[in-house]
Amino acid sequence: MSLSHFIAQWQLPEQGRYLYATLVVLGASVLILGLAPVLQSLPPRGRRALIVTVTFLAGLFFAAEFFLPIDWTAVFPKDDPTRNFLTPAIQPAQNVLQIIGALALGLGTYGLVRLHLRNVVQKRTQWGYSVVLLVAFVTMATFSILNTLSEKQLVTKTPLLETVFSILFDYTLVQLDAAMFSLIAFYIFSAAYRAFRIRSVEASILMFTAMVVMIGVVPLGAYISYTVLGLPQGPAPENADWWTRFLHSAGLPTIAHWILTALNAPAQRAIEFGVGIGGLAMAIRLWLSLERGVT
Amino acid sequence: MDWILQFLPLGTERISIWIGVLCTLAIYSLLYRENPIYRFFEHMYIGLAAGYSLGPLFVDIIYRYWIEPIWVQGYWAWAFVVPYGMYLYFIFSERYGWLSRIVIGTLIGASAGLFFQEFSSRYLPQLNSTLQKPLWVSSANPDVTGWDVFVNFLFIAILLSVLTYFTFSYEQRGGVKRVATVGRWFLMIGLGAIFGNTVMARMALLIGRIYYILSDWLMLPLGGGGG
Repeated sequence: MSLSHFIAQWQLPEQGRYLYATLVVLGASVLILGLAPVLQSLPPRGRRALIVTVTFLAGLFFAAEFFLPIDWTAVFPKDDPTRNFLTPAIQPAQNVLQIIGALALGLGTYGLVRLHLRNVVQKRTQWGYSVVLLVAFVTMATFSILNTLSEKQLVTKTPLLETVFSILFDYTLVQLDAAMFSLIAFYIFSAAYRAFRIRSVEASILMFTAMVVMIGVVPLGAYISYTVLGLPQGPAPENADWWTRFLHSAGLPTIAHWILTALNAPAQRAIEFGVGIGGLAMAIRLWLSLERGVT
Repeated sequence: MDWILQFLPLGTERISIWIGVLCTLAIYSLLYRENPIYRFFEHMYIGLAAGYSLGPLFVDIIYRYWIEPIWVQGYWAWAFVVPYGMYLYFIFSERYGWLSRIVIGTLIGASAGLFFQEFSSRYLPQLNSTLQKPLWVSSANPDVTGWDVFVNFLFIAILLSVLTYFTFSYEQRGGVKRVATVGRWFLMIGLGAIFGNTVMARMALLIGRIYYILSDWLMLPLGGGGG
């Protein structure tokens, strides 16, 4: 019997499932949260050992699933030869991570709401802005949940819900989002001025490349190259001489494209390799709890 | 007269467009200086963004992976997941705060374990494609020209020189230092290209905003389409 078949048997009966499910969730909550005072009695070394063990086992599961040989039929003859015995549990394990990750995101939201509620209750400086944030949060959260539920056809999509959500999302959040990110366009120029002011070989290369790419990827680059300078556009004919070939590839859009594919791509790949190897080293350190301060 | 009637916020669509323009102009007011209007809309933006995230979070994850399996499909073993995840919220307690690190440890450990898989699926194919680049013209590869070979050599030279620049395991001297310096120059070309692309992406957003104000709000006949 494979693991997935074994887990599939742990189902509540269809008759009275809602009641049983509620009771099971309540029981699980009492059990898990009741464990907290018991765990609290652990000495500091025991607490650390527990965290290290949990971290190691969580990493071991995914590492073992990846490294173990695929064909596991020598041990479990009836199992699927295209996967090992841990593979069926990968999807449920990833779902567990998704749920815990969602709760972790909720933690951030809870922290934000807690901070601004405290601002309002204690009437701290500029507490009025906290009221704005909380009102926006509650209104949007309500309509966002209702709208997502209506997309799954779990609640009815009324015209009021549709209109209010559209105003909140399409005409407010999306507009604020686009305006906020486009605002960076102004500041990026001031950052560029400061970066390019440094007179060095590196700064000059950076500036030159940025200018060529910026002009080359917009219609202005094509206009300068093909209309003002009169360079030939498109690929050179098959039997053209080297000068004609050179002229065909001397336009700013072609140079910008060449910089992006031939010069930028290998530099990016080298950075990615560095990030990958560094990430691998960090993953091993975190998994084995060698990184102090995390566990 | 017709233009004014169409311009005024007299219908749902026009009200929506006016709200959008108001949001845009309020955010741009920061360019003049920090002001109460900007701060009002900034807080509204944070509230709306945080509130919006709860819909997909609750329905697409909690409902789909927790509520549905237990209450609809009857898989009771899932009942333990959320109470376990709730240990995260002990982070706000001085006494029980350490318990949240058990769940954080689970997330960190699992992410570390999953990184092995990511490394093999993301970085090894890139390494493979780099090593498979043809470095000479031959009859086996009739499509490869002398220029392609030059670009491939350049690709590998840049890759190796930038990797040399990032090697900090020993002091760089002599030839290694010169290669690392060339690597730094190529890195600057890469960073310049990224910078140029980023600037143009932000400019596209800015053009989109200007187009929205001129075309959608002021109804000027501009033609084309905004971002």
